Amino acid sequence: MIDAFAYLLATSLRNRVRRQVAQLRSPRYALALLLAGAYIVLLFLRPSRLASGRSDGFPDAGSIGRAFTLFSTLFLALVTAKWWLFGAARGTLAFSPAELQFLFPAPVRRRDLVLYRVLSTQLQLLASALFVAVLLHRGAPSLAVPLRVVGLWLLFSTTFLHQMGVTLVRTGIAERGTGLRRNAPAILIVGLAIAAIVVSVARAFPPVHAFADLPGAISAIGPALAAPIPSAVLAPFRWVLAPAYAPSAAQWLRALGPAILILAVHYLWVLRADATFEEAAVEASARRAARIAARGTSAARVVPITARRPWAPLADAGQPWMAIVWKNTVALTRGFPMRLVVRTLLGIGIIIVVLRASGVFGSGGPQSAVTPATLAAVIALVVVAYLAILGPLVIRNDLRQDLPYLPILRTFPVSGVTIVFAEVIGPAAAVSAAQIALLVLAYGLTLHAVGIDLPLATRSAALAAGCVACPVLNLAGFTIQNGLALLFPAWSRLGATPGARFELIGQQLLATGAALIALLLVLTPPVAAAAAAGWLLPTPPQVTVAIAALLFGAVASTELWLLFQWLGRVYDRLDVQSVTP
Amino acid sequence: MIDVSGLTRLYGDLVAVDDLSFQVGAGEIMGLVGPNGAGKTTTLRSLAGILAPTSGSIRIAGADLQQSPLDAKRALAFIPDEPQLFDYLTVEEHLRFVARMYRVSDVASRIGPLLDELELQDKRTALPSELSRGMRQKLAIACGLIHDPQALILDEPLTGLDPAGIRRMKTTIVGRARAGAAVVLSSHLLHLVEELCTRILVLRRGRLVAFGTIASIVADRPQLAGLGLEDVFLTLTGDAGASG
Repeated sequence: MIDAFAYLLATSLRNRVRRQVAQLRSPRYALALLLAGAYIVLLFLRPSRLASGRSDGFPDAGSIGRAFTLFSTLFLALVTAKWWLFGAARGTLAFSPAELQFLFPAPVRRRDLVLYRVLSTQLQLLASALFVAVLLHRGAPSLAVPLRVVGLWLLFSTTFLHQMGVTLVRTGIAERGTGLRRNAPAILIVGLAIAAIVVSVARAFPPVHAFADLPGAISAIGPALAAPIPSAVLAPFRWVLAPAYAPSAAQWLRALGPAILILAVHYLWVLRADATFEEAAVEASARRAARIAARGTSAARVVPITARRPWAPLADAGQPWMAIVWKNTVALTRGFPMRLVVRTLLGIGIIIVVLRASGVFGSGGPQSAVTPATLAAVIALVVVAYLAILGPLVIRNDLRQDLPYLPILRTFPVSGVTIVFAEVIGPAAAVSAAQIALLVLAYGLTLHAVGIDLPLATRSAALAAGCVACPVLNLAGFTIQNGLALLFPAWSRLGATPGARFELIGQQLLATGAALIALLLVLTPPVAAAAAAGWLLPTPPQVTVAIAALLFGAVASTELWLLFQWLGRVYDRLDVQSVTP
Repeated sequence: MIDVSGLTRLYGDLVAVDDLSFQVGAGEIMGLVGPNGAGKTTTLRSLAGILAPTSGSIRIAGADLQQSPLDAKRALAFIPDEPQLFDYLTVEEHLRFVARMYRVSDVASRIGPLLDELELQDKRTALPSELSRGMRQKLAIACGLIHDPQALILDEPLTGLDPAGIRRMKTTIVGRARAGAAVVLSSHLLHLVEELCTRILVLRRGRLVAFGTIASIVADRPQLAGLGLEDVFLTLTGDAGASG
């Protein structure tokens, strides 16, 4: 049977590669590949500051490595606990509709199906391991890349199998209908492990009176976790991580045995848990197929959509392009992970309340800079920055979502320029509104704050500048992302937001690099115009700032208008076959 | 109403549609038939303005689809075989959205009767993911009809519909034609084509091999005399061997 699986996987891979290579016949894609290659070499393969052994203010790579390993171990332990308590990604068991149709009715043993699922993920896991190994090599070049790849592959394979095993066990429990009683041992073990770690860390965590105290508090976590009980709890996670983070070949070799042993145990565990495999796999595949059927796109981990009342009704009369803006903003609100945001805010709120009650905040007296208000203001500003940098990448309710619907969009009596503009303006406006609200919130929260170096006048000016800059930046960012999707549809993530598929990491990275370069190019003229006004005008500062802001807006608007005209023509010429599934 | 002249569409070296010319008048239902790969979908997509012809011209309600695409598109509706719906819009919101795209002013008064006609009234607030395949198809059809198009292009319109839905859909198509729309309907269901269409156009490898009423096509070809529609189709498309 394994020969048939190997044939299927190898042939699929070969054809996929051929298809990708065939795209390079297009000069546009060939040029993009060359630029992408140069970008990867410049960004990842050149020596880093850490690698060159410089010590001008940087901690040495060894201490960074130890801290990285410690937090990775903790993170892996917490994620594993989450899988057991709340469920792991069911995608580990999901087969494609074709695999379900051909493999399940075939005379194939259950363990062969498990084997196939494991085999079919190996390429993705290896690609991911290679990518991360190259990244890590910049920071810690002491271990050869192939050895690091093996270590990371062991780590990824083990976590993949663990998720598969957890899903099988949880499905079995659910099917036997004995819920809590059968689940109790796992919950008890995971609960005790979490309690052991939390108690050890909490005991060692000193009070924090200011942000300056935080590094000391964080450094106390390491020794706390080295105590016998937490150390024993975390040992399996350390063993799994050890080959991936080994600083030398000798240590890598020593770490290899335990990691392979854990992987082998996981493999045997998954094979033995196969009694519920078909049920769990069919369920996971059905979920994925339903999503694909509903969305017409590839497998995706998506936020469930609920038909919430739209933020505003669509007026019966008006410009057609406003309908697209409305559609995209409705999609944004309906697909918005509101539950996650509320949970996160609640969590932050609870932490602030607990820290305040325990005397961490405010115990430094009225002069303490760390108050809940200033902390909330800082969080608001962090979110503003996050939205400015990642908003156009993460929020995709625009052409990237709609291009698979190109046959429908094309039938609308609306020009290409209008479609592109309407698709971009919705998410850009939504993100800008959120950012401005957060800026105003941060400004308000720090109005009466003491101990902040920036005077109120400067903060007011920063607020005004932010309110002008955010919309321009967002419009440019979303336009560039949509432009990339129009120019390189075969290399873009189109349709519903895919989950964290490994092969998409590199693609996303390239898109980010290209977008940053394009953003720099787009912003250079308006920034230069504003700066020239600042230098040359003999007017009072307030007037100069106003004129510079106007110039910035005017030049940026002109550029974006030209960009929309061009992208409209690209949209009109876009081949439907290149964007439809 | 629909006037196609010398339509040719190439994909690289492949000639998908080759010098195709035909007209469909108001009130006519033209059946577009042909084996797989004959060029039906390319023809329909060209008529809908989704694909630009390599050469030739298409006029919809007097407007040239290349020269005045917006005027031409306002007069037509394209309903694909696979319903393409926006994940985040409900049934009613789809209709309101499409109506706005076509500048339909009296959308409120059109939605109710259309939902009744297609039996979607109780799904008014449902998202596409909550609809069955057939209902999704009905919604796609409703979206195509909301602006009362003068030219209606349907690609396998009955896919996924139940028997009652098929009957209702047939009534809808005939009703639209009687109201003055020019309809182009592509289907592999030859009995449907025979029942509904006033004329048929047979395509083979991108070329027109027959065009007219079934009676006139048979009358012009003595070798087809006495054959049923299926055998006529297989003979015209060169797949007669498949029948035996």
